[in-house]
Amino acid sequence: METRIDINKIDMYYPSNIYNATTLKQQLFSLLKLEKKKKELKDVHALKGLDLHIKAGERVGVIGRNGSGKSTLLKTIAGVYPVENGNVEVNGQIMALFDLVLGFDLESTGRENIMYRGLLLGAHPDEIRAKTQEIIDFSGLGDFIDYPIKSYSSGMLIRLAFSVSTSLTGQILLLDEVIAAGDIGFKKKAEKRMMNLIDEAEIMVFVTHDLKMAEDICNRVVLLDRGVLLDDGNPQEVIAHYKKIMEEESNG
Amino acid sequence: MEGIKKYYKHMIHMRYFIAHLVTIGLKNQFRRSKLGILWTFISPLCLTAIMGVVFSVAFHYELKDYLPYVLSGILFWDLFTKSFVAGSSTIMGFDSFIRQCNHPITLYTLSNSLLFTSSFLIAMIALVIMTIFTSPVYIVIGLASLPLTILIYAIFSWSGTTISSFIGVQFRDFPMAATLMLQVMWYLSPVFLQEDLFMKNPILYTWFTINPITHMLNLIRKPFLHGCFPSIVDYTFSICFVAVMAVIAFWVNKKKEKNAIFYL
Repeated sequence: METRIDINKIDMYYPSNIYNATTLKQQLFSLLKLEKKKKELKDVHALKGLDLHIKAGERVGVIGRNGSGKSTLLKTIAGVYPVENGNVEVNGQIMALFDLVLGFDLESTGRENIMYRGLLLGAHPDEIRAKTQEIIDFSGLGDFIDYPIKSYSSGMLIRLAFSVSTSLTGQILLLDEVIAAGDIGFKKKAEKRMMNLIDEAEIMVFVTHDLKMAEDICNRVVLLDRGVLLDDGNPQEVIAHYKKIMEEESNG
Repeated sequence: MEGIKKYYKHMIHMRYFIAHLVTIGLKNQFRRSKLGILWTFISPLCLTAIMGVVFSVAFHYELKDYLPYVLSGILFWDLFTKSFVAGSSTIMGFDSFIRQCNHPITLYTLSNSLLFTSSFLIAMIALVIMTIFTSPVYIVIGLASLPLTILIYAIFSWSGTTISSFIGVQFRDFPMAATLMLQVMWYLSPVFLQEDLFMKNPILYTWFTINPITHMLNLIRKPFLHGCFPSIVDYTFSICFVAVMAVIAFWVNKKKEKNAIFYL
């Protein structure tokens, strides 16, 4: 079956009931008029009737201002967020690179965390064991790999996170900003590896604020604004459209 | 139907991750501890010794009979409270995974309940050792009855963990309220109080006979303390109770799983 993503007229809401919850004290105080009643927040309509179809070979950049729904779209494709209306159909194995350093077990060693992370990403233990040495070599952590990761600096942690996460491949690569990690030496290595990963993937969806990067590595760009698909097509044209909107906005 | 098949296929695919979470959970409980996993049975043994001495003096219980009685009660109670209280923070505890990967939440509730059941199984060594000293002939029946008991307890633990984790993520007062309710149940169940105390009051005795905890406890007490298999009544009560809990857990999971991320 051909690798593809079909997003059919989806609506996605962030429910506000959890933010509207009040404590007994707040309820009592507002009843006694000792405190102003908390303003009721509405559900956030993050994606509005979004329709998007991506086929194999496409490298799609997703651009737009903060809060336009870019990351929400990516997590909806990954199946992390449920949709209210419409549906998302994904054919192909997803490899999502969102918050790389989240979810590590600080008490465990770097080596143990390689297995932990690999299994979380759905790999077989034998596959992870076979790749462990390569991951350690790529991360450049040396003997530190057998120390608990709570002793790591943030740079070391991101090196490990990047090395593990990018050692596994998928047909559909979902990227929330290109991750460039660590010092200059590692950054160069990481960028090269990232490009290989992008080349190997059949589909890439890439959320970014780096318009130059979007133009360089994508063959299609979509522009989101307040949850609506504003533009979709050739990278140069869509980016020019986005720049024009931002310019108009800054000119008042 | 296709969706259910896909869901279980996903769960089977993630079996190594579930096993790893259980292993890491066991390791992390005692990481850098001198006695390590020994605490799993040292702790209930010490508590048993204290309670045994106090209650054998207060209620004139025979220490030889009362010590295994209290120990079996404490072991089961630990599994019970862990499933409902510690289990209630399962979804919150795994929030960084839930935010990143589209894995079924059952994966996390299952791994935690397996962790609680594994801890219970390790702690059971204490009861086995005690039985070797007090009534060695009961060991064979005790061990023979254990696999089915463990299966019933594991389903019970998963149900408790699932129900409490979904309530816990939505209502943050739940662990405190659950602790309080379990404290009441501790006194209303034959965890450390023996049957004769319940017999003094007809209402209490009726409660004693219909309380599923009484029968769940009998699943380990009758073989290890009396050298006989649990009765049909004990199995019927336990299996029916666990089945009802499992049905509720399935229903809660089905209803709440999709939107749980919005409560994190």
